[in-house]
Amino acid sequence: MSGTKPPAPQAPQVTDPLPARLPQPAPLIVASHLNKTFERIAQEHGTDAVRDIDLTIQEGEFVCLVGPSGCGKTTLLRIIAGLERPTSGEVTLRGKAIHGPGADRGMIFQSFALFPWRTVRRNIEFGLEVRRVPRAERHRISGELIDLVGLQGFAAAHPRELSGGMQQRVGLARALANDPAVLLMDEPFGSLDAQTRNLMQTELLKIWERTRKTVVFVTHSVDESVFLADRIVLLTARPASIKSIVEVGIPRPRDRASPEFAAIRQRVLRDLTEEVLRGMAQQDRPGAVE
Amino acid sequence: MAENIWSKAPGRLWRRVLRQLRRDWDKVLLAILGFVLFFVVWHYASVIVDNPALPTPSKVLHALGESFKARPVNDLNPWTMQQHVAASLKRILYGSALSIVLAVPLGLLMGFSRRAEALFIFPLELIRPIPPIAWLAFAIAMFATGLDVVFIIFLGIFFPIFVNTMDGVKKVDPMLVDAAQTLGAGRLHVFYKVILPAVVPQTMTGVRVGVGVGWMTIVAAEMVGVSPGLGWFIWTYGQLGRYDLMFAGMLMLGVISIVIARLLIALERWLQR
Repeated sequence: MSGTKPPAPQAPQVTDPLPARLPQPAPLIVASHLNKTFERIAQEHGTDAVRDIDLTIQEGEFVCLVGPSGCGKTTLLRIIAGLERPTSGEVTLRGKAIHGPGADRGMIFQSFALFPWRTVRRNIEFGLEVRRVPRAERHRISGELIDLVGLQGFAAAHPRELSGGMQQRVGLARALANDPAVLLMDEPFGSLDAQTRNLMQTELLKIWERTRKTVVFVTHSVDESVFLADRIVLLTARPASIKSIVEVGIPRPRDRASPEFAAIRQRVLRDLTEEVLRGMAQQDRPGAVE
Repeated sequence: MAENIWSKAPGRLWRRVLRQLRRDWDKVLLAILGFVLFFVVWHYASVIVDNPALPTPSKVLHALGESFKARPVNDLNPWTMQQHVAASLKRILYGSALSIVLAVPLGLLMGFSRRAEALFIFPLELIRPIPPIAWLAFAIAMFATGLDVVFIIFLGIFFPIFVNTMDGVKKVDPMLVDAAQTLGAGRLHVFYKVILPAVVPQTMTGVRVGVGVGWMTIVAAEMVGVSPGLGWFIWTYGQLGRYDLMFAGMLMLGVISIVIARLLIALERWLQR
């Protein structure tokens, strides 16, 4: 620190226009110039999955990543999770660069990815065990989470004994047990039937409102994103870059039948359809793909 | 507290057995029927064939009962059936233990690391198709009596365990590893909290198959004069034309194999909790 200049003795010049009491939005996750190319042995050039993404996610925000299927939105999420390394660019969490997976970013998978040999309770306690939380404390936390996600009476059940919706509740509780800074949800309700899906969306919002976790939620359902998100980040066909960002701004709970809902859905859908068509056109010309 | 557990446990077990019986009574009945049918077919086959090489079940069961009794020391077979069984069991146990100790780590390593696989796969694939019995002369020349049999059994058990473990590691759902990592697990945690429990069922399948192969090879391995032992028992009485005793030994072998297989299934369930 010897090389730094001594701090200039001056009063703060910029007066904050916002009243000090209002919670200030602080960036939690910042992705800058993110690129990801998958190396393919068979091809001379790799395939680009993510191209030049800059994205800032605020503390406590609910962000949906929407894009045509196979566009690379899952890859983007996995980079944030630390499960994939970007080819260039970086992601920071509270200013610190992400170099690998960690307990501060909880992930929820479309296929649930529960440990089949563990009971519901022991699935939830996995992260706590890894962090050597004492048994009594583990038990208390998992008990609270079982209540929170509505799995009372199923603590001793194994995943195979549960329905898809219930399994994903375990997945959510398991991620929450670590008290992560952000929940990364990869099409978490994609394999559920429509009714369960709607129910789970409502439940997720309830839990989100209670825990105030930041959520990054990948989906290809426009309806789902408009129902859930503060902000919808629409991605282009592969390679994924940001096409548009939509602030939803409808107070919750949202009515799927309301005109505001329809208006936003319309807008997102228009952009998405454009990208889906573009993606299909790319596929029709095999030589044109990167 | 402790008294409570012990006094309640047998009652609970009994109730569980009863509940199972009530639910699966048809299967139990069929199993008993199958058992009876087996002996009936055997009996009439023996009567029709009318050859001393196929004695009736009653003769065999009688011989089996006799084989448990103490024998004069000057007899060709001075040992009781218990001693034969114990001797063979011991060899199977040693062979299995040795196989597990070597095959499981090697299978884990080779399932985990492509380099390790590339290094070891060729010699292992070369040895695998050789029937364990082909090593008999080598084993006899190389090891002390008794230990040679353990070596043969080891060869029979090793490969099923090794192949299943390696395959099991490769088949672990990568999503589970991802999940564990995002929950804060490092490499070591991934290994013993995800890979290991995920592989247990397949390794145990390998152990079950392996021990089965072990029992098949033990007869052949012991017949060269390693006594006491079930294999020796079966072989010797076959040579002497005492087919009732020979079949008694074979029956014993079957029963023990069933018991061991059941025990292994129970062990697998327990390991997977």
